[in-house]
Amino acid sequence: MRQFLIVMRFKLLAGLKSVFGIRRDVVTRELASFLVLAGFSVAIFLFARFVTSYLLNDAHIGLFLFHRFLSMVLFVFFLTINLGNMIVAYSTLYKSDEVGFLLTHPISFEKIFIIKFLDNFFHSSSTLFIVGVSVLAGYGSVFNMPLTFYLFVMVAMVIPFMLLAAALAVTLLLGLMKLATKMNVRRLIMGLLIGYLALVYFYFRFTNPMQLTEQVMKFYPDVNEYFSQFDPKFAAYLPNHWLADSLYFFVRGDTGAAIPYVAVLILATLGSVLLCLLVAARLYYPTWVSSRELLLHKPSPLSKPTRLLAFQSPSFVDPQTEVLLKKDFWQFFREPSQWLHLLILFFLIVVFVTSIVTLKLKMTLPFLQTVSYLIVMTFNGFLIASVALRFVFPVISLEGQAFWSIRSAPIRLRKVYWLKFIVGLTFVLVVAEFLSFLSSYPLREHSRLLLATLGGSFALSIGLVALNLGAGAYFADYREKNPIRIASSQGASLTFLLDLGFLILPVLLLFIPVHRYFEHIIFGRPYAEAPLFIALGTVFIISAFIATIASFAGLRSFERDF
Amino acid sequence: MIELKNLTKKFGDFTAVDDLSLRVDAGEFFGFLGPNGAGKTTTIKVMTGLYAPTSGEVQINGHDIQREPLRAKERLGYVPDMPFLYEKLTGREFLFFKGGLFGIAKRTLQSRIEELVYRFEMGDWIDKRTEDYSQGMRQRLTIVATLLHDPKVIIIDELMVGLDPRSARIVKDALKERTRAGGAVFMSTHSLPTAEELCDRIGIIHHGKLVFLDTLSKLREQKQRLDGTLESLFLELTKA
Repeated sequence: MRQFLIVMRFKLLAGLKSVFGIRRDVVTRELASFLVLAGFSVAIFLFARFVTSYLLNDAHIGLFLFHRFLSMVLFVFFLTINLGNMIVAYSTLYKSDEVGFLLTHPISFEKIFIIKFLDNFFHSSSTLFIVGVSVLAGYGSVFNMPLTFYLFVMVAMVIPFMLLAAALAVTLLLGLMKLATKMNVRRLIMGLLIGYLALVYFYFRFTNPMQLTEQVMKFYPDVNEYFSQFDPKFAAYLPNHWLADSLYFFVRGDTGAAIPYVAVLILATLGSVLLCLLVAARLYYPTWVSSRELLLHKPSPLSKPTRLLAFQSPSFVDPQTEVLLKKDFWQFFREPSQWLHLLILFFLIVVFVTSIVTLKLKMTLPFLQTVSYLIVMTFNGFLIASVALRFVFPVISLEGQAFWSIRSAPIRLRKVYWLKFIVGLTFVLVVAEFLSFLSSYPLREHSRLLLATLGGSFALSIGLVALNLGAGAYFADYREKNPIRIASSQGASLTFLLDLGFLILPVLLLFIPVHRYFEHIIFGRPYAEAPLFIALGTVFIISAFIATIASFAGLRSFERDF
Repeated sequence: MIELKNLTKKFGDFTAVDDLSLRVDAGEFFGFLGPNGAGKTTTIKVMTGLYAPTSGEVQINGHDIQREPLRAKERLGYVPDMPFLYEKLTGREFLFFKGGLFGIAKRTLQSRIEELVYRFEMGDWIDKRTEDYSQGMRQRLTIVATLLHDPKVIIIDELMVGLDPRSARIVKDALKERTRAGGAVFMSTHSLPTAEELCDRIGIIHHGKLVFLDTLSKLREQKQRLDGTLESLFLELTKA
């Protein structure tokens, strides 16, 4: 125990020293981070409060249905924590140099595992914890819940819920690492990916929210009885269901009915953590040792299509541009976490696009039409921002400590920076325009809206790529090799919040022109083209302004002492 | 070939390099010695453009590294203290990458790589990813990459880290050849015997200031006044 506490104490001290440095730039950066994070929490709180209040007081969906929706949201939240922990755990448990360091000391492997498990949990769940607490505060404020409610829910429900997701993720990872010694790693990862997607698909297929909402009025006012029949049998075994149901009883004031769900959640968490520790005691050391062997690669012979991209092959661009592009290409596609995430992203886009293309939008109310249109646009923007954060933000840090080879060569750093910008922008633009075109497909007869979507995405892409690249240079960590950790660092979280702020811009600017357009289509009211183009032009100007500022700051950081 | 004029580098209140001036001429092998934290690596990082100086200037082949960085770096070779490489590239790909950054024509580069890989006995390792390399193999690859563009000035931060005796011999011979052909080598090292074996002139830095700068013969004279070893002289010059 003493060894464990010593290690944790020094880890905590190291973390605090990096956060609370006395240098002016560190203090400014941390203060800015805190302000943005606080703003983000307040925004989530207000949003959660608004949604809860709207659904219960304006849409009158009722407490039971509300908590069924909440359960679905919690399911996604659970999977996000679970996947996040698993992805980061691979780096924390198997690729971290700290494990090797601790192994050279008389510390048991079980203790090392616990240290790394906690490290992983805090690292990959802290932002989600803030999101969870802000949502809880917004939700609870609608019911005027007392302070003790929040404290109890946080300690006895939110933390166990997150810990359960993390423990299951790490247990699964340990099992996968064991399997990886016996079978092809790529097949294993693909299998895991398919498993997760199947889980999401079947969950939503069986809980079927659309069916719930469409048929509800037939049974009015006996909705609770009606809904309870829709609960699939397996729902009783899901932690999101326990959490949602306990909240349902708490806000109804029926604490007695809520407690059994809380108890089940806590017991399940304890059981999962125990299972994780038992599995780790058996598997962590052997899988850690075999992971050393897995890290050794034998270069495969170049196949024909890749031969074109080989360094030896002739090229039409200047040698510096050629080698920089080829280097980034190979560094990207030889890193499993990069191509794997690209694959997941591609799959998500296909799912999103296939769902949206088949939508049949009925022109009924201009307000609803405008909201639907802007929601789809915001979701597009959210996806573009996620792509930019995951694939553009880390590119500067990923130069790593080998950056000396570029810094000491006769090449302008601006050229390297802009090349990264162009590659990032091309990639993001392809994704953004493809997404925007297909998501506007149900409105294909309305060329103005199609133009607004494509133009808006174009402008957003420029701003987002510049912002993520600039912030990636500003927060560059050349010692971190893992792109996932870079994209989930404190700097990255801040950048994502800025991205989200930036995404609100086209929604605000386009709301009135789009609403007028729908009024024109549905009610035949007079319509002028100018406001739509002015709004689009403004989005472009602001995007260009953000891109300029971000690029200026990014370039300055890129050129600083290495 | 290399000229440092009143070079100062500060990090906040801490002065890592303090008003350093020295010159290394063509054909000269210069040894740069000093205890840990004396300012050797900082000086080298300023000389190669990795750090901007707080004041003073660095001239490489007559070009200021800050004002004309591209001209200064064209014939400059740098071997860092830690041989970090792009780990997903093979050794050969890394060499093509480095050659491309210096704008070497592909055909010339190909034959140059073959020649250097053979000379530095890299064998099959050259087509393996650098993440599989040992420290010594990384160091060898870095040195090969440095020699690719036939630099006139070579700056080395800790030459012998991780090199086995055979590799060390090959590297020493290659560097001596460079100086005989009119190039200049600036080498920071902790290895006093290496410095004695290779260097024409030696500079010793302590707390960011040069405490000794002279030829090897002058150094030998000073050594005799103590117990005849470079180690004693070094310890005498760098005592706190």
